[in-house]
Amino acid sequence: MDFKRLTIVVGHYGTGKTEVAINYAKFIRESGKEVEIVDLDIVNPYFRSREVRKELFDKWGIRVAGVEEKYMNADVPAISRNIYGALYSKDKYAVFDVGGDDVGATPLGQYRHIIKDQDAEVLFVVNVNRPLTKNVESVIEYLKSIEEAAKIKVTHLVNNTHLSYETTVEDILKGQKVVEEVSKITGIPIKMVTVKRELLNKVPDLGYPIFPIDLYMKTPWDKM
Amino acid sequence: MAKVLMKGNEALAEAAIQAGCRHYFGYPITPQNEVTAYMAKRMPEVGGVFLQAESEVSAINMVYGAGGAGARVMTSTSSPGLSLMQEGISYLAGAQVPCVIVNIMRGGPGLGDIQGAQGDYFQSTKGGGHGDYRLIVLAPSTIQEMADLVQEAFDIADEYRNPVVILGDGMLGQMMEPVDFENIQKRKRDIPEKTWATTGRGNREHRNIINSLYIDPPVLEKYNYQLFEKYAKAEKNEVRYEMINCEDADVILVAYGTIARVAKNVMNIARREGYKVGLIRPISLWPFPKEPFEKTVNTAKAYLTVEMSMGQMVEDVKLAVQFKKPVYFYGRPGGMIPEPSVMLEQIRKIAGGVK
Repeated sequence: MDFKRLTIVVGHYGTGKTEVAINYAKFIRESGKEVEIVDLDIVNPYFRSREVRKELFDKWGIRVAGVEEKYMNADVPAISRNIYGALYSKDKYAVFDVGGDDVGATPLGQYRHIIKDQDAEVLFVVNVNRPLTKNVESVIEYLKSIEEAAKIKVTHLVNNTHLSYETTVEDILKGQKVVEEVSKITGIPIKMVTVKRELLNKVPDLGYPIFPIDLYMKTPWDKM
Repeated sequence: MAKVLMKGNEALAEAAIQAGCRHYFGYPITPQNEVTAYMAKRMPEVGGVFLQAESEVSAINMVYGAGGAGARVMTSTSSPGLSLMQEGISYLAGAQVPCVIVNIMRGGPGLGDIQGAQGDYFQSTKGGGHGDYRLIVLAPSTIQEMADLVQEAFDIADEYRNPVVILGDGMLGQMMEPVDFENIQKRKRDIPEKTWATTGRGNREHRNIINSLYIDPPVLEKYNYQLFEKYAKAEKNEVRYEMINCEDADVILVAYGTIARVAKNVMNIARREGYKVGLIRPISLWPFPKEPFEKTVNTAKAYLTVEMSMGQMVEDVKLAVQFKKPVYFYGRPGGMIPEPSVMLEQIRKIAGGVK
C-alpha cells in the first residue's frame, strides 16, 4: 500500500480515527520513514493520541505533535505551533489525527493553504456501528459537512466498522457494503479495510487492502 | 436494531429519549458534553424540548418547572455544575418533583480537572443541599448498565416523586462500548398517575401547587415524616448490588462504577494467585446496600474499599460492617486511577500470606 508525506484522518465522532492514525503512522514508520502524529483533536477530552505519546516514542520513535506536555489535559481548544514542523518538512512524514465531525475538523481549515500544495492523502474513516453513520446517506452527509468545515477534499474512504471487543467479521462486511456504495456514489476510492489483528485470518478477500489494527486507546481495566 | 457502539454520554441521552424524556435542560461542562450535544440533535427529532440554559442554576430550576408540570425531564452535568445545582435539588426533593439528574464526575475540589473521579459520593448520597432529604443514587459500571439504569431512573423518579441521580465518572461518559437498546433491563412498576402536576386546573376542585414552603413548624415536621416514609419504602425496595465470588472469600473488595471494573480484574488475578477474594459492587449508592455485608460479615476476614477519591463510600461500608471486621481503604483523588498492583499488594498483606 502506498502513502503520501501527509495523511489526514477525518471522520464522524467516535469512528476510531485515533486508532487508525496511530496504526497508520506505525505502518509508515515500519517502511523506514521518519513520521510524526499531529494530534489536532480539540473536541474530545479523553482517548486522544497524546495519551500514548510516550509509548509511541519509546517503541517506534514516533513523536506526537500538536500539544505541549503541560497543557495535555487542559480543557482548552488550543493547538501548539510545533505542528508547523510537520506541515513544512520536506522529508518527515506526518499523520494528522483530526477531531470528530465538522466541529472537530474545523481547526484543519486554517492550514489548507499549506496542505493544498502538498498532495496530501485525506482518509475518511467510517464505522457503520455508530448510530449516526449507520447507512449510505448519513455517511455521505457527514463526509460533506466535514469537507466543508475542514476546507479539504476527502481522497480515500476507510472501512473501520467495528463493535469494540464484540467485533465480528459480519460487522466488517456490513460496513464494507455501505462503504462500497458510498464509493460508488461519490467516486471516492476505498483505501483499505481495517481489521483487528485477532480477526485477520477470518476475513475473506474483499478486493481491497486489509489493514491490521492494534489497539492503543485503552480503559484502565483493559491495560491490566 | 442490533447493538450499536456508543459513548457513555451518548447512551445516557438516547436511553432518556427512549424512556420518554422529552425535556432536557443543561449547561455544557466537560466530561459530559456529549449528553448535551446529543440532546440538542435528537430532541427536535422526537418533538421534545432541548434548552441550553445560561447556567446550571437556571437549568435545574427549568427542571423544577417541567417536572412540576408532570413532564419526564432530565439534566446532566459534571461535578462543579452539580454543586451549583444543589439549592434547586433540595427544592425538587422538598416539593417532591420527579426528575433525573446525571453527574459525570470529574476531579475536584473546585474546578479541579476533567479526568474521571469519584469525589461526589458524599454530595450525592448525603444531601448536597440543605434540609432532610434523600436522593436515589444509581451508579452504573458499563455503558449497557448506564442505558438500563437511566430508563429505570425515570420510573423510580415517577414512582417515588423524587429526583434520581445517575452517578458516573468521566471514564464512563467518554468510553465507548456496544449497547443494546432493544433489551433494556428494568423492573415492572406501578407508576401512579401524576394527579398532582400543574397542568391547568381543568375540572379539578383545587389548584395543584408545587411548593416546598411550609411556614408552620408542626406542618413542616409532619411533611418531613411523610417524606421519610417514602424514603423508607425506597430503602426497602430500591437496593441494588452485585456480588461476585463472595461465598468463600477471605478478602472482599468493595467498589462502584468505573473502578469496580478494575477491582473485578484484580479479584481474578488474586484468585489465580490462590487468594480467596470476592467483590461487592454497590449499584444503588443510596439506598446503600447493607445486605451483601450482612451476608458476608461472618465469613470474610476483611473488606478493602477502593475508590477514585480519598475515601467516601468507605464510611458506608464501615457502617454496614458495624466494626465486626476490619475495613481497609485504598483510593486516589484528582482523576487518577488506583493502581491494580497496589490493590494486589494490599490484598496479599490483608490475607497475611494465608491462601
